[in-house]
Amino acid sequence: MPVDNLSRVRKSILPTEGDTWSIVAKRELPELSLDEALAKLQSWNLHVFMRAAGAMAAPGGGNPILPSDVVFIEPPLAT
Amino acid sequence: MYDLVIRNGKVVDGSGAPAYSADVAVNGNRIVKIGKITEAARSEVDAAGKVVTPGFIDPHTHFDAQLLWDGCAKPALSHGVTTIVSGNCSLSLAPLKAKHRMKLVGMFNQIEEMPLKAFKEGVVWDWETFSDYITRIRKGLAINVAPLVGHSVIRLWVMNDAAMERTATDAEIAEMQGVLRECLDAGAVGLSTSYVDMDERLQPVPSRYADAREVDALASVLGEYGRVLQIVPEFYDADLTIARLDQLAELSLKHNIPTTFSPLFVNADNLDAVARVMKRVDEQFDRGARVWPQVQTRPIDISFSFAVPSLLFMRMPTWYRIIRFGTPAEIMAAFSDPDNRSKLLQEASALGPLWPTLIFRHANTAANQKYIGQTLEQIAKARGTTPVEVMIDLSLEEELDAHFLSSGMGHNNDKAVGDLLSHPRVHIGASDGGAHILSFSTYGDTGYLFSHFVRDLEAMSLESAVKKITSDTAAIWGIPQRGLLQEGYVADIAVFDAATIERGEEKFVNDVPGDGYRYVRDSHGVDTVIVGGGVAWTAKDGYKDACGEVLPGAVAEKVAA
Amino acid sequence: MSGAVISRVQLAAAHDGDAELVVTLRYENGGESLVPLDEHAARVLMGSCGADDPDDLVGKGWGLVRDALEASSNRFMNSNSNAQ
Repeated sequence: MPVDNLSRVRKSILPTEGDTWSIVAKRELPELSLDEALAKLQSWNLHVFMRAAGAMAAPGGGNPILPSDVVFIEPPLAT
Repeated sequence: MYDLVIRNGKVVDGSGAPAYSADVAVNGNRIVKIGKITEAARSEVDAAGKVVTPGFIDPHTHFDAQLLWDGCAKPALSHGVTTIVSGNCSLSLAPLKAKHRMKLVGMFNQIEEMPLKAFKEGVVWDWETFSDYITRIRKGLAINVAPLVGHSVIRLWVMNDAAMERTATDAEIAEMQGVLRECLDAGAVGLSTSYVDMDERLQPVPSRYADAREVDALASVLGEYGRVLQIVPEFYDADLTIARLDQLAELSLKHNIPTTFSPLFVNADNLDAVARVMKRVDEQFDRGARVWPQVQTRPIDISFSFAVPSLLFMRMPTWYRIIRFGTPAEIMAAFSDPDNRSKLLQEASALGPLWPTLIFRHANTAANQKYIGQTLEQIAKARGTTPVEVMIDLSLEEELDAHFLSSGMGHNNDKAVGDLLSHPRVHIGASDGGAHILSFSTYGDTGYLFSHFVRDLEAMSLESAVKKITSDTAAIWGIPQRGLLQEGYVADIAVFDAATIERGEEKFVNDVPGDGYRYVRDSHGVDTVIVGGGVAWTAKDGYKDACGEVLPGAVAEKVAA
Repeated sequence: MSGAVISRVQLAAAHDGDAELVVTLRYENGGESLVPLDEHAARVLMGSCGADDPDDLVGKGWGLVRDALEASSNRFMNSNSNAQ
């Protein structure tokens, strides 16, 4: 089955080097204000908060995105 | 004269073909004849009234530490399991530099609930490389082991503390590829990685700091050998699971490797989610990818004591307030106070059907040992009281160290689980054998498959169930010449009574180094287990020959080449 | 803030044998996702929502769920102890 024939699933990305919440928000949701894009992005990716901030955390920066994370760039699909 | 003949049994050969009556002859470690055998043998097994099948293969275990003091992986072998896959979820005990030992022990303790004391008193740390670890466990091995090497430990080996801080450089990735090759050459069946696990401070394990480039590079090495990639996805969320299986599919297609993810659970609230995951699995298989979801047979139980707050009581505010915020002395005082007690009893009536079914599973006092394994209803009857009062009384008598079990609270939809287990693209596994040893027993899933899904529910035939946990598993994992009863194949064999096989009741035993305990289940209905032609276990005599091997072994290397 | 809110709350069995709280978040487009919370996170969420009963969480916003998860996840970060 060609890739094109795969059914539609929720869109996600894998982070690239140096990605932060802000960078992903600006890149993937450019039509929104940064605050709104950040809020949407975080609300779609609560799994990122299910672990300690770890060594990649900036002080006070909240849970960072890890290189292995799946980051959704849209909400769950409505059924 | 043969070395061993199993006579008068019904052969279920692992291919899915109908059972047939035949004898099975073994010379050395090989099956040499199946049919009517009149010649004598040095050793015989009478299988009249029983079925003779290939030994079972358990693809998701954490016996890595236990194998250092127990080459039988007890009690797995007694359940008919002749091969275990260790090193799942990014964690193996090698390769491991001396300076990282305590770090890894912390992860095993946090993720797999392997007690620190067992490592301290049961392990002589005399290896660093994967090859040396294999040499170490080979001595006295009674069960076959197909060891995965953990991505987290490869990262630690190459990157030291930076393994939990950042992505790897090109040079570090190349070094990791070299280490993985060494492990595969030494006998690793594949690589495991994890996207959910955390260490003892809830920080992500090293594999979670790897980017897709690193995983791709390691998968390319697996491709050189045709070996397996196992992952733990974020299994609580269907969208995340699907995103991970899409990643796996791309790696499988690009590097021509089998991949597997575990676990996949069915709960009342996620039937739709499982259907979506399986639809994606089908789509990816149709593209040619190999992305095997692992599904366990047993339901999930909830265990608790009042020494640790449990959300089981969250809908009962008086109970929850007491156990959440009280000190042990305050909890005991609240349980003893007549007014408070009547309030607790009243509130508990909302969950009326639950209490009688709870099982009392652990006590310290001698007086209460007689109740272990009984339901609260049975104990209440014996004491002339009610199940909830018994739960409170036992907790007081045990100074809160009384443990209770609510069985079948998850993965408990028989129809949905049965359908899933029967699905041709579902890999039966995810037992977690050797892990969570102080929370529940991870043994006997194969007995449960036969007793519950084959015999009681008739959700699948005996032949199909045997195929699922023998030849299917061997094929998925690239383990040659095992998983079938066929002339020329290695004699890994289980003999059991299909009418009585089941997992025993859970029991708490003191057999872990460091005077430690764990929950186990005995096997019922299994008669004889043969590994590599040697009788490894019998119901009559217990554990015997030690003919286990590290798989896939030299034959697989030739096949892959 | 976007408007995802808790639409349902259930107790469930986690894979490790503990009970967990699973909240369903409903998004503005009608899509839903399940978020499991351990005992610590559930307690923080109940506290921040002023809830006595888990069902009182229905209608609360996703940000409180995020904060509860973060508080639970980071609870050992300032500790040198392995004790939990």
